[in-house]
Amino acid sequence: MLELRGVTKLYSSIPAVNDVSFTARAGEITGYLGPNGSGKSTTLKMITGLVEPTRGAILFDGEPVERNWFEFKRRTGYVPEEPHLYSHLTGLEYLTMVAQLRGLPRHSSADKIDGLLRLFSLRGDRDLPLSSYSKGMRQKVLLSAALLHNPDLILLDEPFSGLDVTFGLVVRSLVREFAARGKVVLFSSHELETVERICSHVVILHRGTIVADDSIEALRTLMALPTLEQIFSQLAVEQDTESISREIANLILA
Amino acid sequence: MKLQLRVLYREFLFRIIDLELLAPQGDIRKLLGQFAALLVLFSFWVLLPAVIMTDSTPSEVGLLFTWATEHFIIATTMLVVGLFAVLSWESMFPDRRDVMVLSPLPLRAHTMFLSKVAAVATALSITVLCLNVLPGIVAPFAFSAAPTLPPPKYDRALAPVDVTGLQPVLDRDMTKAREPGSGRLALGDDAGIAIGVVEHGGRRVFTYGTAKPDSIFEVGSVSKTFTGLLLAQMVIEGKVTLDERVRVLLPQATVAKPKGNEITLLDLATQHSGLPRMPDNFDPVDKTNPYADYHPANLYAYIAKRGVRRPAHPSYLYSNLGFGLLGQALANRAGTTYPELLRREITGPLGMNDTVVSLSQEQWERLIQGHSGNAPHRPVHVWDLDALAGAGGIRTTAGDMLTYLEAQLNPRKFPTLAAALTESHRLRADVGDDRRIALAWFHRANSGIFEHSGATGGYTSFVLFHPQGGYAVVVLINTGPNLILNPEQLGEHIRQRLTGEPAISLATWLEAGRAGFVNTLRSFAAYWIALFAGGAFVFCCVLTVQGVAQLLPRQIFLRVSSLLQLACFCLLLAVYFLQGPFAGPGVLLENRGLLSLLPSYWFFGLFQALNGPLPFMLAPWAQRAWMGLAISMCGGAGAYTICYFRTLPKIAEQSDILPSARLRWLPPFGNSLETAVGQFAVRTLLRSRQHRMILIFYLGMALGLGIFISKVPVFGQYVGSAADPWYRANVSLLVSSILIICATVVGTRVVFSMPLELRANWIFRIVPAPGVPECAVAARRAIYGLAVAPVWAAIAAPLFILWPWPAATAHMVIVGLIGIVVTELSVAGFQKIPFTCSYLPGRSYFHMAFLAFVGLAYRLNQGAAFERSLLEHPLRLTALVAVLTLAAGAIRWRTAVLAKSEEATVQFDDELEPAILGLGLRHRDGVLPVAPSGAASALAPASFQINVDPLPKRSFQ
Repeated sequence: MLELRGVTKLYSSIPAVNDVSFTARAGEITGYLGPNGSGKSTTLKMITGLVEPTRGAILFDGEPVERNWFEFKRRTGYVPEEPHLYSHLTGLEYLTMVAQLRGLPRHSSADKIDGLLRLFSLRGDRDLPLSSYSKGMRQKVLLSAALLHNPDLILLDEPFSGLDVTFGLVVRSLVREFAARGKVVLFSSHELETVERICSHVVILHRGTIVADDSIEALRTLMALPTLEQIFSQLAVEQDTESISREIANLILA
Repeated sequence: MKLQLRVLYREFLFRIIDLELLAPQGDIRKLLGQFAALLVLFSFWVLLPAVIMTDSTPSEVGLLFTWATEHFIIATTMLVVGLFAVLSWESMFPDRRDVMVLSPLPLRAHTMFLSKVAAVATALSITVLCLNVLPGIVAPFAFSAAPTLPPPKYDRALAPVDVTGLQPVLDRDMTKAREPGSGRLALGDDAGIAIGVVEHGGRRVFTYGTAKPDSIFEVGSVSKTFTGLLLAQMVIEGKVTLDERVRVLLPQATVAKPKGNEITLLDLATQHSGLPRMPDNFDPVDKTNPYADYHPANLYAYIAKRGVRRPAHPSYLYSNLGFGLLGQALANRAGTTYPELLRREITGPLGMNDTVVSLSQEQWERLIQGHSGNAPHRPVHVWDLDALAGAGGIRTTAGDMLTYLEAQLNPRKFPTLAAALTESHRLRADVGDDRRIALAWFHRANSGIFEHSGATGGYTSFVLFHPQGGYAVVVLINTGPNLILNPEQLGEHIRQRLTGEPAISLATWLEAGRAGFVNTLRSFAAYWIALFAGGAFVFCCVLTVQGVAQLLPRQIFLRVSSLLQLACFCLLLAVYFLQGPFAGPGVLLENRGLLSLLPSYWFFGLFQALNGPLPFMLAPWAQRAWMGLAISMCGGAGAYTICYFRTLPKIAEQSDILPSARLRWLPPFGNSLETAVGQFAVRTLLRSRQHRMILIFYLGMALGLGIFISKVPVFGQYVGSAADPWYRANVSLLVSSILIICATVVGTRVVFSMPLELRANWIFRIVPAPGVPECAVAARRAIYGLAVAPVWAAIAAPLFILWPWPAATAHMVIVGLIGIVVTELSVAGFQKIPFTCSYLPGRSYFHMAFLAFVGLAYRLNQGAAFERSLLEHPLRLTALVAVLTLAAGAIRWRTAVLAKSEEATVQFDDELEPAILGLGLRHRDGVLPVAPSGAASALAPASFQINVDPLPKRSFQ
């Protein structure tokens, strides 16, 4: 179980994430939603240790993660929002390096990497540098790197970015499968439809603050709205999307 | 169209230099400023000599200084333009980015192309202008006023003068020659010239300066004619034969019988033996008297090693070694020494009592002091020759030489030598330039003259005789080889007076500069034309290289492109440093063949041609400059044509990514973490062009300085001789090798600190991070694998070829240990993963690195001298090895302790977190538009940030 308690991140006294508390349970897929710049990625980076929280506590299985960073990182898999990779390495080399960094046994990791490359249809391109990979291929490499070591906590920041329909469906099922096998999955995305389909529990963030934290069903009932999209619009969208689009069209067509 | 051209031109111009290569993610404006500042600094440097050069008095020193300055400016400009071309390698042609971005726009291909060419041409011009902005204004004034070397002039022909009437003519000519500064006799107050002339039995000796009729001079290689005559005399006496093999005249078992042809005595006497100019074991202790300690044992040792095999068709090769060997061989056969043989066979019978190898006390007193050829013509030591006396050991007077020449003219008057003299004049082989060779004597076919010249450190000499004309001339000068007055010119002048031909003028040698508006304007034009021509030549050569490479399939071109860039970089540096400092007009004359291969000398010749008058020896170079420029510009134009018609379509069609067999296997670097980090470092350095270039910059500096220190002997006569440092352990090579390994290790360590795709380092931070010990081990092993081992091997190969193996082994052990020590010092305190940290925007302290290397080179010079002294003492050498081993061990122990300390954590220096001055502007989502790290920071608009005080770097666990 992943638990955030009053986690805050200030940049020069201005909060990017403000007093965020929620719990992501094993066996569940927790959706983490919010508009651009609402603090989703910052939260995930704080969980992984990439960004240091200003205040608050992050606990995994009841233990503050900083008490044993090594063990926590060993049990965590992370797919970042941006596919930043060492593009001079080939797909195979990158995954091998990650396996080595994670201290996985050489033979078993080689088999696993080979299997992942095959299943993600990257085997033919495994000796090409990552700079030649399409966005979707890079995303597959990121997913493979995140799952390679069989993590207990899976942090996914826009995991469908660039994936084609087939692999979008594959990853969707995969996330469900991992959750069913008792993993903690924290899933950040703008694709509300997907979130609605696979997440049992959502946390909605607005201007760095949590505005909703409940199961989708409970939210529907509470807000008397039929879809997650409408709930999200109600809670986190301030502008009139129709009028903005009309203004843009007017500007171009003028 | 014009607007498109202008916009693209500006865009291309601003990114013509691959500044990302020098300082990744640096501030472009700051980098351009640094680049311009560097050029202006160079400009100041170039300016200094021109400012100093204010004396227009025609003097040898003035001429040397002027030419050296002119050549330096031209060569440096060409180097800088060449390096600029290498740095803008990728920007000289439209690349994939240009094509992909611009193709969808309504833009014609030729607009893009013209913009690119215009940007490249502008960038080239700006580089040349920046570099020469100061000297380009000042130097033309100095150059127009500087002394010049006009082509030889001829005095009016006089009626033939006989030897008895020569005195007044010669006195008048020589008086003109003494005119201060410009005359050919302006050799200084201590110069002495003795001239002997014999014509139809009448003989006269004329002396000038400090010379007296009985002054004794060294005659250098004129001695070879004596050795040739000795051979002829011994042939006549039946003691040897011309086709006798030299091997049999050497002590028994000196050298093995070769397979095939053997060197004969005739081969030696006609310079067709194939032997080099000097033996490679010529290693004088006293450089001022270099031949004194080269004894027969040394000569035999060389011959034993080299063998006496003669090439099947030997060509003419002037060899002091060959004549030295001949003299020694003849002495061996005669059972005496060369000096004694000379006395017995030639000087005794001819009564030449002052012609000796070793001087008596009384003769020492008559020996005129010799002086160096270069200004200010300081006194120099005499040269005492032992084993090579037959090549240049004789001292004599003008009077004795007249006797010798009389014998050449009239052999019958000297019955004991008559047959030998006649035999020694028989022409045996061609030597080129319409000349043939007898036994040592050179014969000019067009004039029928036999001649030979000679030189030692402090003397020059020339003898000629014309059997049909019945005259002979000897000129002896107590000054070493120089451009002002060589005895050949003076001898030729006298010959021309004797025959009534127009005579080479002795009155002027240099001309004063011609200041004035028109001449300054001409100099100004010459300066800029020569520099732009030189710059354009180098630039177009680089373009041509790329153009030719573009004929390769696109993906192969991409693969070889960076190798070519690297090769051009190394070539430019090597050529600049290898050509060494400008050694003076005299050296230009002696080494025209070699120097005419160097483009900087072509454009130096071009400058002289434009500035006028063109010195005769530079005329071919000026022609070469024009030809080279034309060819290179055609090459450049061809390159752009190829790009336009062939490469551009392919860029759009084909991927730039090379599906290639990559280096999949790399050795393990220890445990799993160490291996991951180590292999990542190796792969990054091997594949990142940017990091490779930076490393090569360090290596290039070390190589350049190393070569500069080594003072490579580019001039033919020194190769294999005392001045050639290559064949034995010497300070120059010791310093160079140590400098190179240090530079490689330091360069590798520096590039480790430069991030590659900084934002991708999250992967190292979210995994159970490797500890400092693992990082240190991985970094250390990567440095060993990437820097120490290959460079060590690269140094070892030539050293083991050049040096005796004990010295090479000892030095390579020391180089290896120094490599280990520097590596350990580099790794100490390196608590990072290579290529993942230390964000260094614009901080490419190349200038500091250069200064540090200069300082290091200076210190190393002392250290290497110490090492060389130890190489001959095994015990002390062992002590040095032990000290270095202990030092390496101690530093390694300290590194290990530091790495295991509690404070040690692996650092991921992120981009500096900006301290933000709050302006009360809030993003609509309530989040500041500037994130401190990673993607958010990069995406944030710069206008929202005001960096007032960067916070200290943070460490992440």
